[in-house]
Amino acid sequence: MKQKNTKSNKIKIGVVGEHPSNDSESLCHLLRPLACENVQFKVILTKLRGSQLDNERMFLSSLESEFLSEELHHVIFIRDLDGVFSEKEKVTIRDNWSKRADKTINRQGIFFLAIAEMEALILSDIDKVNELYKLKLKAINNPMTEKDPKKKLMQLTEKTKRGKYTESDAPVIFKELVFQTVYKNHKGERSFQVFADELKDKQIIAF
Amino acid sequence: MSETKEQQPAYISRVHLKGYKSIRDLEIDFKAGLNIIIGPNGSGKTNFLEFVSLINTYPIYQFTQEEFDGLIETNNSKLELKGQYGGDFQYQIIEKSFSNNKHILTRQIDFWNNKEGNPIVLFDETVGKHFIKNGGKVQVIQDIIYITFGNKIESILEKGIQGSVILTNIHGNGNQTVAINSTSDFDIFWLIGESLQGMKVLENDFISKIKIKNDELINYLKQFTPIRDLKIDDRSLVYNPINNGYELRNVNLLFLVNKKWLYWHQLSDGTKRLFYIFLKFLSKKNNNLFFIEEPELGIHPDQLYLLMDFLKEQSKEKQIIITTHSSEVLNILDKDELDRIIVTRYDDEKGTQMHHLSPHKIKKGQMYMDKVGYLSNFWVHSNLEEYEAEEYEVE
Repeated sequence: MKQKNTKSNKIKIGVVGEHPSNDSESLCHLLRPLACENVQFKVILTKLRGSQLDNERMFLSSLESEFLSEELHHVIFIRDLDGVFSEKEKVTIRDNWSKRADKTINRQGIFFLAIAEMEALILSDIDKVNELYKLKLKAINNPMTEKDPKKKLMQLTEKTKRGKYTESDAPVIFKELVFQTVYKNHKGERSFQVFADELKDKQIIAF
Repeated sequence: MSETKEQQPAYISRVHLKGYKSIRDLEIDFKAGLNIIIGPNGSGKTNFLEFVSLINTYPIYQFTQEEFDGLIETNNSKLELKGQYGGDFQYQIIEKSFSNNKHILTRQIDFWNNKEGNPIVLFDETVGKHFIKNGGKVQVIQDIIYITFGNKIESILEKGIQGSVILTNIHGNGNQTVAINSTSDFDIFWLIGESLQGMKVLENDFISKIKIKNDELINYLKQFTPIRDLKIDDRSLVYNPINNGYELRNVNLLFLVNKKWLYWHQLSDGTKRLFYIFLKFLSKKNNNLFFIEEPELGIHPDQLYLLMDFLKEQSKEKQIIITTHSSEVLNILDKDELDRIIVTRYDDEKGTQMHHLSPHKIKKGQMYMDKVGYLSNFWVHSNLEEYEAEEYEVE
């Protein structure tokens, strides 16, 4: 075996989430079709979970190692708030965490605070939910305001032939979601719309 | 060849295997000393160890294909195994050649299975001894009494040596060695042979003299395991006035743990594993090559740490190939030793495949060790095992 030169002009975007095989992978599925030329999304720290992200000594040093060794250009952080937007204290804790993470990687972080869990993005494309679960649900007005979108999605799909929604279904469903629909419906402060606009400004995705 | 090179112990430097269970066509290089194989369940780590261990042991597994072929190169020799099914034999090693600085062996060995499905060596011209299928048999060769059994060490430890043997020749000149061995493993021979070598045998205290006297083994066991001492069950040897001899039957080893003498089956799995590993290393001091499958099983982290220290020390003079799922085992490596990691994966088309860490992965591992603390952080939290196909091209 002979080593090849691995240097490339790829723009590598790392994605770190609360649940790598669900949240992070799901977001990658939604963004990849819109990736600008040479941009690659890659889930990093694939076995860290939410509580381990809060172990900052271990997380930040691991993040730095990944950022440097994988020669990442940016890192997207996805965190759940586990609360509602009005709980300012919780929001501040998450924001401070993201600032420290951002500092570790030379301010190349992009933070997406999923105010009400990633399932709110699924509920943003109700047509796809209807199609996949053979339902006839009406559109939900701004899913960001849903207090517990995961629970809601489970309830809505409980008696379907496909079976009740579980977290591990997320990556498969995200592959099917229509970006433009999610973008249009998940709006407001700290929304997916705002997050996607930031990615667009940084020429990571184009739409 | 320089003198320094000649003194270097033989080790496996390259392996090319075909036709064994999940292995279809597999090539991999090894280093002298410690080599650690990792990879998911079902990727073929165990199959690999089984096949490669045919170098020094008799094959006890059936091959999945009609023909198999293995080439194993050491730093100064080559070993080839070629085999096929034929006639009444389950399988046959047609050619087995091995050379190192001291000797060259070429031999043909035929195998078949007995009714219980255990492999029986019919004839091994190199060793020049016949082995028997079941039960015990005494052979007198010069001053040594050999008792041979068709058992493996695992079965001896588990069940004791079953059956009985009459020893009528132990009252002679008193300089005999009583040795018990098994057809495929000489550990018991070593344990008991050590204790009686050169001993003047007296009728009344013969039983008390049968005990394990190997201080080195006991010291290692005390240091690394809960076992504090060993002995042979006193009831194993009975004086038989009819033939003025001794009857050796149902030999069992006893282990002193927590101030109680325990049989093998009373020990915990971890203690058994530790005992077995140290026994192997000490009874086979002249062996240069050791394979250990998942040494961490059932072993407390503190003792695993000590065991890995021991194995690393041993690896200065021996080649040790370990498979593991334990991050603690991986942490034994220093920053400049990450090229000793081999990752196994299963490819639908090629079967079991192995690769060393790429230079990029080695650099990343070193960075984890610097910044996070342990190599295991890289394994547990990141992508150490991921195969970076684009980094390699076949010459």
